[in-house]
Amino acid sequence: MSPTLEDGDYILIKKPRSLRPGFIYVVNHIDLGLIVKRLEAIENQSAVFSGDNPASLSDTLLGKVDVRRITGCAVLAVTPKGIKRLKRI
Amino acid sequence: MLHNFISKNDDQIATASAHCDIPCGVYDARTIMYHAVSTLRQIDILLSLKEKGLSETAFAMQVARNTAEKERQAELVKHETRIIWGDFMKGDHLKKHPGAHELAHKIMMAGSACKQDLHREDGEKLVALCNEFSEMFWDMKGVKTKTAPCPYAPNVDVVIPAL
Repeated sequence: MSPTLEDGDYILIKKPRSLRPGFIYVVNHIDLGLIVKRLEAIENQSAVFSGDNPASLSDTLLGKVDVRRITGCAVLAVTPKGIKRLKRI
Repeated sequence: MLHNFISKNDDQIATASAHCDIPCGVYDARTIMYHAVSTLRQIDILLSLKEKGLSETAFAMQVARNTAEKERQAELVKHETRIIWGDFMKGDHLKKHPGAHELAHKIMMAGSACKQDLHREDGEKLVALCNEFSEMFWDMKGVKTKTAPCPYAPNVDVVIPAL
């Protein structure tokens, strides 16, 4: 998720009322565990995610994620350089 | 400053990965079953060598070859089990199946027993433990399984995903 998020950053998450493409979410992935990715699209009850970095795992490799595995929407990042709001892209 | 403050309580905060490296998520217990069955097959072949009326040289050669293959297959059972146990089984998987650690360790011991000696019971035990591990693994992935005889010697029952 670099450069949006770097190793060691803390994020504040809130329980999402709705899922909106473009925002960053924390997902309990069935194979990868807890991951932070940006929501690309929702198709029925499945969500497609991607990373901000061009070298990120592609959405094809991440696979479709059951929306029930989305645990929170990341709203703020606390980094060594300060606090920043995590905006929709 | 806030980052410094939070980092002092880092161990209380859950970690989520933003960088996936290369976890491809491709885990498959069928490889474990293949190697377990192969180990048992090598044991059967070795136990049957005396009845083949081989010359002393041919007998020694067969023992050497099949023992080397038995060793290799048993080690592959242990290797593939370690990968799934160490890389895939975590978090909710382990909460659902707390016996995973003990079962993985039993497979390690059973694999070693197959390498160290020549008893069919050791091979049968290895296959049985791997079947149990396979069922546990597929349940963690939410995939139903079935038991079917493998279509080749030693024709033992194996747990496979009902895909």
